[in-house]
Amino acid sequence: MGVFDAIWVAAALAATAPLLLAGMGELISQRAGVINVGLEGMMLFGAFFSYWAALEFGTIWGAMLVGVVAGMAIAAVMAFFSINTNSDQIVVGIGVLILAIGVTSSAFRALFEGSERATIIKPMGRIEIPVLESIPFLGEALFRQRPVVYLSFLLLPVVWFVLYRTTWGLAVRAAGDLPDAAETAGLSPRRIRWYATLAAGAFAGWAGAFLSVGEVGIFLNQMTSGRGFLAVAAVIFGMWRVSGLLWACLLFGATTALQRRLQIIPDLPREVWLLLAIVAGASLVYMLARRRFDWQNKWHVVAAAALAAVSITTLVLSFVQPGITLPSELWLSMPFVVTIAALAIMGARAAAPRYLAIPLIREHD
Amino acid sequence: MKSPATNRLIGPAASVFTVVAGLVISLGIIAVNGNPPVEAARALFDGAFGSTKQAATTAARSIPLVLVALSWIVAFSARRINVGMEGQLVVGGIFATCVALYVPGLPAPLHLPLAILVGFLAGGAYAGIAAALWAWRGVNEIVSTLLMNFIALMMLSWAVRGPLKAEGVRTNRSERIPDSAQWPNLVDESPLNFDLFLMLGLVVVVAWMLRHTTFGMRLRLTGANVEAARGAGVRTVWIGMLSLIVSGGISGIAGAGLVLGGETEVMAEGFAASYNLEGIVVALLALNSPYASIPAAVLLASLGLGGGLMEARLGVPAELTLVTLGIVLLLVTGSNAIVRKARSVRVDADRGDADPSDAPGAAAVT
Repeated sequence: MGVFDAIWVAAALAATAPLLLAGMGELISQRAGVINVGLEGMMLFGAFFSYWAALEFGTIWGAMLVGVVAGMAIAAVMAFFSINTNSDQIVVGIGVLILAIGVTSSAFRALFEGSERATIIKPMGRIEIPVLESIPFLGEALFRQRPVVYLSFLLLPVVWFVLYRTTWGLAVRAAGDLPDAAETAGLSPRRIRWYATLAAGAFAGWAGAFLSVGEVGIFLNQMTSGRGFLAVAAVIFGMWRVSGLLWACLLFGATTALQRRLQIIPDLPREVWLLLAIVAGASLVYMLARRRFDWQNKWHVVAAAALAAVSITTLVLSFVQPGITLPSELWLSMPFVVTIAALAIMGARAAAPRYLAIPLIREHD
Repeated sequence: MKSPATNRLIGPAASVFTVVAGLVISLGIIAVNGNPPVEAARALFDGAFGSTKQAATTAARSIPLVLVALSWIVAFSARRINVGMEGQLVVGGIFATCVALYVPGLPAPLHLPLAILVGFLAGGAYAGIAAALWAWRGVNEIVSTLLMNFIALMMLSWAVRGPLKAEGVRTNRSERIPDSAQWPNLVDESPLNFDLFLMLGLVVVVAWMLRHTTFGMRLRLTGANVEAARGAGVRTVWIGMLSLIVSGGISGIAGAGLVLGGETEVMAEGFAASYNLEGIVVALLALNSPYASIPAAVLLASLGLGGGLMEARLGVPAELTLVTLGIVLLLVTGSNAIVRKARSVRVDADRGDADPSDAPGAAAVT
């Protein structure tokens, strides 16, 4: 199996957890109609302030709570400008991101750099689930993780339940899809958007806190390194659904873990291409099995043909030419190519919340 | 009723006011931390304009910023949002490097323009992918251009590690750009090159194009009201595509300029730096006016360079200038949204009951 062993699976799940946490927040806010490209900045806030709190108070769970609050604080800036002043959400998101990079990096340098206080704290310990942990392969792969990793996966059904089975979730979805109807029903879509943005900040802050005090034990400048953008992409790739978000985050997490393992290997070993063949083949089967697949739609047919071509070519090549190597960058850019291709094939028109990124201007303000 | 002149002045006034407010807030933060704000302000200024060399560096730094801002402005005039300037810039730079390295024997008056032209075409083609997906498959251009940034960075990483890698060096970089494809130096011992005039020329061309050509008129009409533009016979989808392609092309020129005018004289990873975000900030500060993007870019570049000296002299973290930038950006967008609302006549016409997917900045993946 080469690089695809239990350690890789474990690393992939650990890399998925922060994406999933931040993604759940982003999903809630996008369903309410607020696209939050400042998610990365909110993660940075969580990462920095939880590290500060961990040094100050010494408890990791307390520090994570501080991270959550910090994420909500910067989310309030996002909410104020995008909801109360009706500014463009993309622009405000970029502003929040720049502000967060500036605040966290300069505060870190002012408070800790050059002083002996900037120590690496002991990160959160791993929990080995009794009994399950001793299963060969699976135990090592799945059940020796940090508690937040388990929590992030366990929270996913909770988020689904809240979004689809509670009145609050209905209100959130209404704010993104039918704000007028929500208003008629006596709700305030703008207030719902405020809450949803704060929820995104809380989740993102937690995700950032997990990175700093949960995993690494110290804050580093811009340590989120694009994970916030990946989480935004995962929500879109997942077609604004909870299950889609999970698959997208797993894909990105698996690729990230692979990237770390491949850093020393410039060219990809054969099994990576075998895996690509398997993934392409599996997606093909899944696509054909879906009821929405339509043989009359030329785009669907083109997509199916492309998937078939990819899986057959890679399969044949990896056996006929076992020595073949391709640049690892090709593999690493795969999640982005796949996302764009998926959006192009499926045509996300129907899936997106109708009022995503559109300010709600009240008649009598 | 306000007079039209006052109306026209509110926006820029708000911009200038928020810049000043942002600077004052930041100096306040510095003062609270026990550093003399006057010294900090002087360090900021000296770092950016203290000597001829520093002023030239500031000018050189603002060239790509202005180009990226122009890129945003062109797309935004048709209300298309291009956040993939980084990718287009990188692709433009890669292809310009290829021309610079592998088209031998050309004299400089041909070689350099050819490399820049190829950079323009490559950047435009790369944005064209996003434009085509938007026009034909309804893929939202914000999402596709954002994701294509990552792909372009992978391409760059592969190019300087593989096919374009210089022989016999350990770092991942290209061969040295030949003299015939390099921008000649404008101010000695500074990074400022003659591409300053290309940038100024492009500003004039873009401003003129938007104001005085049919194409510019169509862009602005599409941006102002899609329905009305369609009613007037403008092919709005085609115009939207073209706005993205031209926008990408300008970013491609910025990328070509960074490689062909760079101090290191080679292409390496990271030459795109953070010009994408900063260029957007410039365009927003300039209220999407090509001419105003020049002072806005100079402000940004001087904050960056002055921040370095401020850190060296006073130990104030240079990243504090990012805080200033963030505050300024938020205040500018916020105040503009409020100003826009104040001109209430326009609001209903802008938003009305039009299809939400046509609203400015609609990020819905439509």
